[in-house]
Amino acid sequence: MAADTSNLLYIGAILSVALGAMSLRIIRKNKDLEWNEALAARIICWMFIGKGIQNAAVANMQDTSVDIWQFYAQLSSGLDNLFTGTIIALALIYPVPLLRNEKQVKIGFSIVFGFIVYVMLLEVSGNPYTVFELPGIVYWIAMLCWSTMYLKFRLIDPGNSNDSTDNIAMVSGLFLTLLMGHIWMWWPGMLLQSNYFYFFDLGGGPMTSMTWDYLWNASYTICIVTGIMLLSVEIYQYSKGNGSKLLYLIVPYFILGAIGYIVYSAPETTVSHTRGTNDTLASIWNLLTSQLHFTVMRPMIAMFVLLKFGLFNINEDTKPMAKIMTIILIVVATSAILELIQSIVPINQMISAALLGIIIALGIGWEERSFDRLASNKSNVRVGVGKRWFPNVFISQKTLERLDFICLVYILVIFLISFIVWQTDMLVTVMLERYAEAGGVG
Amino acid sequence: MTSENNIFIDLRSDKRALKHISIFFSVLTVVLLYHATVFFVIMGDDISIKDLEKSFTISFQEIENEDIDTRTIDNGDREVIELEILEGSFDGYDGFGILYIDIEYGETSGQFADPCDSVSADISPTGVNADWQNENNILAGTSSNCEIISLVVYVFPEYNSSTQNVTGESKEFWELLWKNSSYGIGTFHLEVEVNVNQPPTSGIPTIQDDDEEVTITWRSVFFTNNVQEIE
Repeated sequence: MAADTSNLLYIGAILSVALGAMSLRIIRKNKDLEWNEALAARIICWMFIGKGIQNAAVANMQDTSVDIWQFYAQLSSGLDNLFTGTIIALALIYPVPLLRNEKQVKIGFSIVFGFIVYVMLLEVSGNPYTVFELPGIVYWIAMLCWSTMYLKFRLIDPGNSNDSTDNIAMVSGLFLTLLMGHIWMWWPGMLLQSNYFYFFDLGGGPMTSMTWDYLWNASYTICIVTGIMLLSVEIYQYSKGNGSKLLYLIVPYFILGAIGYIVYSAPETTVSHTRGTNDTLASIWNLLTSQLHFTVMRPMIAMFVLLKFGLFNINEDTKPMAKIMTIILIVVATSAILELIQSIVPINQMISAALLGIIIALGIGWEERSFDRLASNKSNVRVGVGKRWFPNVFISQKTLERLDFICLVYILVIFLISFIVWQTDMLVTVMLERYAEAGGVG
Repeated sequence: MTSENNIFIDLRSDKRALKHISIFFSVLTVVLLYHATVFFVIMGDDISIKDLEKSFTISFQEIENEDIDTRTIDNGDREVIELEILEGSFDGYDGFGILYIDIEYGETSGQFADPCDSVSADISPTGVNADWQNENNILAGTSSNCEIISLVVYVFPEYNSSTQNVTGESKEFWELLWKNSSYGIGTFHLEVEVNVNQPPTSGIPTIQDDDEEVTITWRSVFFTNNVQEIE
């Protein structure tokens, strides 16, 4: 299954980089955005460019057996730090800016940037995966910012409720889903004390201390509580006739979580598939759920936010590229999902080709109608909401361009650092030290 | 700092929002306490030793299945003798480990001072999913002194009958690794060629050695694994 996981990661990489880069091109042309929207739009683009390269690095790491894995591992780690930074920065300013004046924005963004540099220094000084990196901080800060905004605006006094307050809650919920969706599928494991949740070890064995594992696991717990809160509030609002589309997005994660509990808790079951290899049912399940969330759902949610909430300025000039982006999303995501299913369920290739054609035709047909609806019927988060929630902060065009430049330079620096880590065998040395300390065998 | 500059003041002044946010964070705190209790107390011992890699000893219990095929092969002929292993034929075992093939013959012409014939045998690496690249395989052999030709095909990758000590992973992982019924299913093709060596009396028209009887013994070794954790 490793091959199929890496195939999906490559697909995710192509999707993320393509959508991120094309979105950035469109957004750079849009001079009409409010300061926090302009920043948020750029941050989302860089988040996905970074994630895309990271997906490709992880896929390459899985496919390689020689010591170049250190290059890909460090690249992945460095770009994951970029993802952490972009999510925290995004949570601080969008949909509602928690940073309310120029000084706060400067301090906030400096702290985020400083944190990324600090983690990078920890890693290059031979101290990766230590508690000093504050593992899971991205989930804590995202939860604090977005869940507060979600609760404030989703459960607002009915007299003050309007489309904008619903939209603020919707965007907050969407970003929480984007960040935490894959973790929500583990909710029964956390509540029912399952090994698959409590033994989860991102660093792999003695690479991470028990404290590190606890902090990471605790951050997953807060994500699950956040997910359950969203689900409860959405069900409550639905029962009061104020349902939102967010409910339909969240519910499958929790249903899949319940099914996943049965899969992960069952004795290891081997499943044969058409590639002639055997895999455990758990690994196939993981591929069809968590991996699909990382590689397909995340770009889809981000794309929806960019289109629906007016971060794209769709005009005659930018419309063709925006349409190409949605078509890329439909075609790549559809073919990836079908290819995945075909690798497990023996569907005749002719049938799957025909199915692919039909689904893409329907998807593009849907795109024709829904794109115009999305582009022309943008949702607003500002109208009818008190002005103090959206203070004016002057962010110059030069500052925005500087943000693009910093992100680009950061990615290039990460490539250079990864090369040095590989050449100096830094990760192998750290691994051997930690395995020796743990008394295990490397 | 005015509420215009501080979002916390705004949130604090909204009693309704404050109530909902407080309830959420209270629940979050309770669940985090539950999680910490499970992580450090209820499952703490298991979690703390999960990084210490376990060692296992893997031994194998073998059973041999023998098939015998006797053929008379004419001088200069190359005959293909097959052994077909059907799916499910070793269902009670974890895998097909090794296939031994003995090609046996004697001088059966009955002629005085007739020397042993030359017999060559080779097994083609097709038709069956096996460890054909294993350097311990003996896929071809010849004999011209009536000695037994012994061929060996290692079918299950890395299998060599001996007990192994391994480190890491779980008991289930190693049991699963050493259980696979796809190796060895199919048809093995053994080609045997006979070239007779004529007796010194072969000039006499009635005395001719023009074939040889060859007996092929296929010994299929099936195994079941036994994985034990080393304490």
